[in-house]
Order: sequence, then structure tokens, then C-alpha cells
Amino acid sequence: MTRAMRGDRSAFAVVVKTHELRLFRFASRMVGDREAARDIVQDALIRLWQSRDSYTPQDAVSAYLLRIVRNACIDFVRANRKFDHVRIDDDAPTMSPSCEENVMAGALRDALERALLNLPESQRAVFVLSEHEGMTYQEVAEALGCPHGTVASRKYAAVAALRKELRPWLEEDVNDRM
Amino acid sequence: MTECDAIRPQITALLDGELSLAAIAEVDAHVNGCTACAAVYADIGILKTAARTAAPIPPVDLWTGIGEAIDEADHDMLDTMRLLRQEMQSLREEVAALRQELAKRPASTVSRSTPISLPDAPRKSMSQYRLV
Repeated sequence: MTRAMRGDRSAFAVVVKTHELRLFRFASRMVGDREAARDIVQDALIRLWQSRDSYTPQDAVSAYLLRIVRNACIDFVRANRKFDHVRIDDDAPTMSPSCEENVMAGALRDALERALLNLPESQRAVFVLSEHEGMTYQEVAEALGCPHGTVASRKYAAVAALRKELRPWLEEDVNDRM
Repeated sequence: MTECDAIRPQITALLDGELSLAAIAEVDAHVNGCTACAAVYADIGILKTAARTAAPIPPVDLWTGIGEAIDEADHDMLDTMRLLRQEMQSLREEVAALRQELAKRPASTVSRSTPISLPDAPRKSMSQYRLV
């Protein structure tokens, strides 16, 4: 990374190729739009290259890049906020006992993706990094630049909000298990 | 705050593998005896499974676009530097012409309270930029 920030284009290519998939996945779930996520990550990395003279060496490059992309996602969401709340109850499951378990699991996954967009950005970032990227609270804290305890409280708040929003799907899942 | 209120954040941390063994034992003991917290435990487990089995996001190639953009930006910067060099050269020539013009004039013996009006020198700059 240090070589890249000194203007070594091939070193920057290695940095981008190493981290692009995780950054893209994170951005996709933060903004709920893969095309927008692609643009956000590309623009953020281009800006990083253009402002490389002001770069200060980082202990964890991965955390540094995630923080840059997180900030870019927040800017994007705030600039493109079209609605206050994504409706997810249009596809709420009926209590049909004939539903296949995998269909319900798929419906829950889809509902979860949409419900994520209703979380505050701070909670969404913690949930995505923790659950989808499998990062520990400490790793999330480093990536987002906040204390470990803040990560724990945001994660709990995110889970509580999702549990409330996805109540119909969770009840259906429990009924399927009975 | 009830015991359940205190335990529920711990349930999330437990399922994330973030609790010590002693804390795990405490949460387990409560959950085993509390129907409401057992339901929370089950719900969070379902949510975690749903998140971790989410449809994979396919790989993308971001570098091609980034590489092209930074190459283009670098070319633009080189163009700008070339124009600035041309501008500097034309300014040097203007200053040299002014100095020659001043050198040809007889030295004034009268002190002036207003600035001397310098003759105009031909401007040779090709640049769109004007240095101030």
C-alpha cells in the first residue's frame, strides 16, 4: 500500500485486486444496488489514488479501505434518499403449512436484504461486516473507527430492529420447525 | 432493568462468539429458564443463518475501470503541466523583453510619486491558463 501511495501504479493494482470483492460486497449491501456499489467503490479508489500525496501509512489496509467505502456509501445514500422506509410487507408470507422450507428460507433471505436498507447506516455497516463478512467485533471496530463496545451495542440494536421487522418470517420459520 | 433486558444484548454477542466462557454460562443459564429469551435466541439464530446463506455476490473487475480512469487523470495532469511550462516560458520571454526595453531608456533624474508605465510587450502565450 505504501508503494502504491508513492505512485506505483502496479502496486495500486495489486491493492485494488486484493480488496475489490470485499469492498464491492460491502457497498452492495450498504446501498442495496450493485451498479451503484460498483461506481461507489471505483470512485472511492480513484479518489484515493488522486489524493495519495496526503496518505498516511495505516496498520490495517483492509480496515482503511472499508472505512473509505463506508463513508462513500453514506454520502451516496444521503444524496439519493428517495424514500424513508423500504416496504417489505408486500411479500409477507402466508401461514401456509405447504410452503417448502427452502422457499421460506429464500423469502427470509430476500426480506432480510431489504430490511437491512431500513437500518441506520451505522447499524447496517456493523451488521453487514459482522454477519456477511464474518468479521469479529474488534475487526469491525477497526474498520469503522469506533470502540468495540459501540460495535456490540450497534449490533444488538440492528438485530433487535431486524427481528421486529421480520417478525412474520421468523414466526413462519418457527412454525415450520414444529 | 429486568434480567432479560440485561441478557438480550449478551445473546447477540454470544452467538457472535464474542463472550467469555463465564459470560456464556450465565447467558445459557438464563436462556434455559426463560421462554421469552429462548425465543430471542432462536430468532437471532435464524437471522444469522439467513445472513450467512445470502445469495453470493459475484466477483467484479473494478481494476480495469480504475486503471483507465487514473491513466486518463495522469494524462490530463501531464497536459496541464506541459501548458504550465509553456506559460512559464512565455512569461520569462516577456520579462526579458521588458528588461531590454528598460535598459534602453535613459535613467531618470526626477523622483516620481506615481508608478512608471511600462511598455507593452507582445504576449506569446499559447496557454488557456493565465498565471496571476
